[in-house]
Amino acid sequence: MAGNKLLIIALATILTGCGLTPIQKQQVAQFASATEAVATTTQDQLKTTREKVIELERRRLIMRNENPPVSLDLDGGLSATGIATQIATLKALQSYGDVLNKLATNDQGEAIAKAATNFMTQFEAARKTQDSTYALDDSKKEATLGVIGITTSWFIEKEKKKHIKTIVNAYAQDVGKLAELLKHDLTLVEDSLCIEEDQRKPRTSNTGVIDIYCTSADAVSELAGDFLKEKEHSFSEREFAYNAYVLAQQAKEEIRVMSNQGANIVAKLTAANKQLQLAITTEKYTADDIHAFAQQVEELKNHVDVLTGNQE
Amino acid sequence: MSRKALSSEIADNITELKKLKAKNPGRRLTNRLQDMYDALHQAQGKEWDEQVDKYREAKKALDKAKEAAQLALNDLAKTAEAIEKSAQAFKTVLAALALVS
Repeated sequence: MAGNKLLIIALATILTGCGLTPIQKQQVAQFASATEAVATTTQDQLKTTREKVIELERRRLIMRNENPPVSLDLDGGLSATGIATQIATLKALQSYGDVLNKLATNDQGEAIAKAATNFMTQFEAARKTQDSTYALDDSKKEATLGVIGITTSWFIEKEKKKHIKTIVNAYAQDVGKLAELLKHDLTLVEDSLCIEEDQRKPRTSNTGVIDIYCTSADAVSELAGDFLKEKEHSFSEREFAYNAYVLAQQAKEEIRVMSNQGANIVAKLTAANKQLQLAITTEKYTADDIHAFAQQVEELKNHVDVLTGNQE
Repeated sequence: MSRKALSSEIADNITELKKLKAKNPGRRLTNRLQDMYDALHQAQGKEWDEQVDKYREAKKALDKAKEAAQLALNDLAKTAEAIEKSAQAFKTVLAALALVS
């Protein structure tokens, strides 16, 4: 009886306290969700922003009839290869979050159940070679399956946590750096022309995609505005300038919204990344974790009691 | 204290030029302003290119992270296979099963 209890304590000590807690799994899921959100929305945004810059620059070029630019750089410096690199990086981020989440939620339950059944059959067969009449009754079969199920689940969880902890600690800094890069592309620089002059601040961030979009919108807005003030243009020329002016104003409004949304989305990714690293390295257990574990230990004890005939 | 970015300097000039143009509207200043926007785009393009290089580095790191997670996932499947094939992974369980009689 005492040996029985010691065995359970030993099992618990060896196999638990090492697995992923529900909170840690939840943090991995939150991280995966943040990587997916930032990757999917940003990929589209980067692509369409370049297209919008090209459209604005096309209109600007047409309106500069009398004073054409020295070079015809229609994308404002946003090269297609540069955008493709950014999109590929976002896809890599999304894939990483996805695989990490699969790793955290993978329970191998089916494999464990199959293994337990096989093991029990082999065990019974082995005993029969010594005693042909030997047979495990149903309660012992159930208890054996229970013991194997619980302990192997612990073993698998321990393995998962070992891997996840190593990976998260190794790459959290890289994810943080990418979040910083994204911030530059999704939010306006502090002294942007798209920010009211009295609200501008000394610049601390770097030029990104959204700033290039802002330059095109501001340039078209100024040019079309000046054009509309001039008298010598035809109706169709004025109509073209008017449409360009409206497009530029809409773009400036969109840029302000995009910049706020961008700041939020990057903040979420940064927070999810930090929280994940914190949760995965902290060995704190909640009351629910301890309660769930205690239930499993109790279950294990009952199974072992059946196997050893120590039932009350 | 770090040096002000070229795009920041040009943006300041654009702001000043806009004020000047508001006081003295005319083709000359309109054209000058548009040339400044071209210069701003050029400077921004160069600065953004440097950012793109950093994205390439980030992608390499994330590819490695994904590979590590995928390997771990495969490893987990192998662990389950090991459980299936032998009692090796049941070291601790065997002690319990030894009590079955």
